[in-house]
Amino acid sequence: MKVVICEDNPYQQEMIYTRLRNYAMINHPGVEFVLVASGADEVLKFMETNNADCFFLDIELGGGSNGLQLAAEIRKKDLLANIIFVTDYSEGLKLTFKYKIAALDYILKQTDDDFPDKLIGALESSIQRYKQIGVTQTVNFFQVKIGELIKNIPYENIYYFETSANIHKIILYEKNGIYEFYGKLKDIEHIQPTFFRCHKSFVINLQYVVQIDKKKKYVELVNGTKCPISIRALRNVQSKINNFNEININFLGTNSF
Amino acid sequence: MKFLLLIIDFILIFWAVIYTAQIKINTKRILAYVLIIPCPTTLIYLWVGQWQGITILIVSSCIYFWGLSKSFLTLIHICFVIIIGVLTDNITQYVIASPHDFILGAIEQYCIFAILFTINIIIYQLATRKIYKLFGKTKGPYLLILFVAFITMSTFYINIYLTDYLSEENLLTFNIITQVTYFAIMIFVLYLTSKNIKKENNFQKVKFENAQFTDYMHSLELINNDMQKFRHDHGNILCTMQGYIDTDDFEGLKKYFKKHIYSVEEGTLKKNKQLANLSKLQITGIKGLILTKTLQAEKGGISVNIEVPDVIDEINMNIIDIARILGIFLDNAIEANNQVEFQKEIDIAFFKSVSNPLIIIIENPLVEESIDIEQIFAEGFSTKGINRGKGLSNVKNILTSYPNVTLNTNVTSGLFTQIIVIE
Repeated sequence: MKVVICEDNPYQQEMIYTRLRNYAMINHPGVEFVLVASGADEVLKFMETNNADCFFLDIELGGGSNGLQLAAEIRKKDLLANIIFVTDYSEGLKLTFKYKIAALDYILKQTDDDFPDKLIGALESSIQRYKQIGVTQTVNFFQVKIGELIKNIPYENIYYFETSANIHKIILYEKNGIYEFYGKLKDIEHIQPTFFRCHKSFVINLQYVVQIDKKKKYVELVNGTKCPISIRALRNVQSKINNFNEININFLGTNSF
Repeated sequence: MKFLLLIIDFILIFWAVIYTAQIKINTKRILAYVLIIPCPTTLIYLWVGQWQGITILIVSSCIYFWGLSKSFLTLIHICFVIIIGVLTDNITQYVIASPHDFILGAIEQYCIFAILFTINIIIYQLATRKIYKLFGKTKGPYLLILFVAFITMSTFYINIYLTDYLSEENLLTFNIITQVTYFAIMIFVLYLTSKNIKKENNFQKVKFENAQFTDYMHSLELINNDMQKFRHDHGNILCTMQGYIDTDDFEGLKKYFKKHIYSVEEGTLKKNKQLANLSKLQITGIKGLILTKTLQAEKGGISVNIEVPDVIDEINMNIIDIARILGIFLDNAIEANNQVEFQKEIDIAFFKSVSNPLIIIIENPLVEESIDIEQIFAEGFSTKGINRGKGLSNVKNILTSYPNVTLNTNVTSGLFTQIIVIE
């Protein structure tokens, strides 16, 4: 993993570099410090011909440049790079770090005592993430992009998807939130075996169905939502449910399949 | 016979106009009516021709009723009375033409016409009275309606009478000309109307921005007052500090500074910082709203952290709509904080994402461990009081007309986060 440090204060630059290098030498020999810079220009110039995986950036860089802008530039070039901010601000820009830059972490310089520990902690989690990038894991998340942040929502937390009143917009309802994104239900209904297209504008997670009313034609989910179900889907839903033994659904209404 | 029918016609028209325009009548006025309208019209109708008679009827009616009421509304009513007359005539023809066991005589036909006409006029009067009241004294809408009504009436008559004089080939050309003209005129009217609506919207926007600007100025004044107070005490503070320094009492100086200067001025400095943070948000309406709500929140002991790292000078939404949404979110955030014991906090961020859409985030702590997110957007839902949830269903309503805006809501480890992404 290649690491870049950018800090304009020479004393702090030296301190950060020494701490991280000493830790890495013993614990992670693969970590390589490719650049220790004191300004944004240096980093951008370096990025033209090289690349790196982890960046420790000072927010208040001298010479009119700003660590935030530098981070945005880096993010434009590399979506996966780990960015860690080192800052003087006490209240700071935590929402901006999280959602604009998708920064891995930010460390306050003022908390002198555990500053080195936090630096090492950030490097450690950066290494963990770097290792995971290569591994092709079985994806169990639905990913929603909000700004630069990618929100991973476990499939098993999703209640249902619904097309919004606006064309091409889909609303996702899960245990902890509601998200909107642009897409098509057609591309969603098959990504997970428990997902079921019960209606032209609904994909439900069968795990959360508590009952189906065949007469009034709706599906009730565990959170109380009632989604409409089409006649065609009513015919298919039984066989689909039979595939999952653990799902127990109460059927209302008289007409049989 | 023909003469009698004409007289009934005139009576009907007279009644219809005075009924719709609510004009008072007396014997003199009736006499004047007979002299001005029926006499010349009848003469011309019988001896010169049908359509000339009709023209005289319209012109003389307009002159007479204008003289009585001096209002555009009356002219509009005349046009509508005549339009209704033509329509009713056609309806009567249709009713008679439909198959019956018996054949109707001319008098019966006329009775049907008279009854239908009366009913239609009453319906017209009842239906439009409220609409006309709405316009009040502004002339614009009356002129527009008069124009539309007059054009419609003329087209009706041209279609009915002038076509009798035309050969079949000419008829086609003639029809095309009238129809295209009519269509063009209606497009023009539509254009005028939409322009008016645009103007009205703009006016609303300016009004709103002014109100927000006033709020903003007021907030600035408050902050400025605090600063003034600080400067006023400046001399005294320096003298006191001088005293401590002269006596080498650094412990005392330390205490004095912490107790009397730092703690008191911390709030002022913080407010000033909020203002500096907002400087990159260059939309006055929104800036005013955020500052006002921030001061309101801080009064309740909530610390507000504002992040605007990029210059924001444009929002791809109607400013009033986004202000309403942010107002609702901030009110909710303040209210949610009121139930929190410590660490009362609201975080607000405005920034342009790297891939360019504008992102607005509002985050606040939440006491309720498990909150049903879907429910809070349902109409009338609230975790406390009736009004809270209502706001959120309004937000949903407003956003349905913005395909370029997405709203993301979530609760993670006790933090309630609302993220608006505006493409």
